[in-house]
Amino acid sequence: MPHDHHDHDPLEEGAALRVRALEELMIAKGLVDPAALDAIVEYYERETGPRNGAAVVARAWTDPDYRAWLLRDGSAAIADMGFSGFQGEHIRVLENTGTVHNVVTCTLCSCYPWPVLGLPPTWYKSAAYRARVVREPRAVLAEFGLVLPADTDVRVWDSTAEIRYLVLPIRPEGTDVDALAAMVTRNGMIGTAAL
Amino acid sequence: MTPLKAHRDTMSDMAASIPGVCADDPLFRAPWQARIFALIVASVKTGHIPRGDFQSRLALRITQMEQAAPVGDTEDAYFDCWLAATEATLLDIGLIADGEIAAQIEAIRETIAHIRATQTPT
Repeated sequence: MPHDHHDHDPLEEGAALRVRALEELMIAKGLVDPAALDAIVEYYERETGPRNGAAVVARAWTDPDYRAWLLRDGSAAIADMGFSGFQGEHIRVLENTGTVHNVVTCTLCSCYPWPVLGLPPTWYKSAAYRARVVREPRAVLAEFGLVLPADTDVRVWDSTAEIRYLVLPIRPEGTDVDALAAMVTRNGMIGTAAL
Repeated sequence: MTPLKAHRDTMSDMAASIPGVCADDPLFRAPWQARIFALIVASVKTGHIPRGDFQSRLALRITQMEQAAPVGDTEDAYFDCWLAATEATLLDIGLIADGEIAAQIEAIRETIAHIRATQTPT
């Protein structure tokens, strides 16, 4: 059966074929540069990710001036660490305290602070998370294993194309910046986990 | 096991216990998802596609998908919306004409068929 190996050719899958067609059309029209596409994929797969955000958070925990700057102008303070991404949207940093817990969502689609967190995880894009975290944040956080005291003020922030949010978690015990950065998790910076 | 490793493992276990949640999700599940993502990022960066034009169409597609049926695979459904929003944006702002995508798909199919024909032993 010489044709068996063709059955799973990815080029025959609908989406892969359509995307290839779109890409070829846009390259032929001079609208995109294939090398630029490669660089973007490479950048998002290898260069961005939660460790960028973790480095920002650890610096804020250990440098009061940087922390103040980060909370005042998140985009500029994050760009100072070399993380500016490709889209230029504003990043606002939300500080968790003993009395306030912040959690981030995007009810319309999946806006996310890519330069510091990479691409959003599957659950962030799910209808269940996006719809429910606004309506019943405590119940959703409890499902993530995060049960907050009754008197904690839970604030839900809805991202947009223009403003993305990054949560500055409460600092755990520890003094070394690298050790602190290693303790920062992606979910901690979305607000669905404590550290 | 160090305390730090134990801490991170605990966090991963907690995340993994929730349906649909994986602590170390790959960014893209298929190459085409990375390509369509890059296509939009590049087009917004060069100014050929206004970000808001794409964003509003993506939000509309996601809403329509969720209203039409329960989502089976969030990741794939999400990028399906991304693809549909990209096509809609390109058509609406006139960068691609009606029929061009279908013609290009046909051209790719013919190319593939030709390659296969020349490589298949007779």
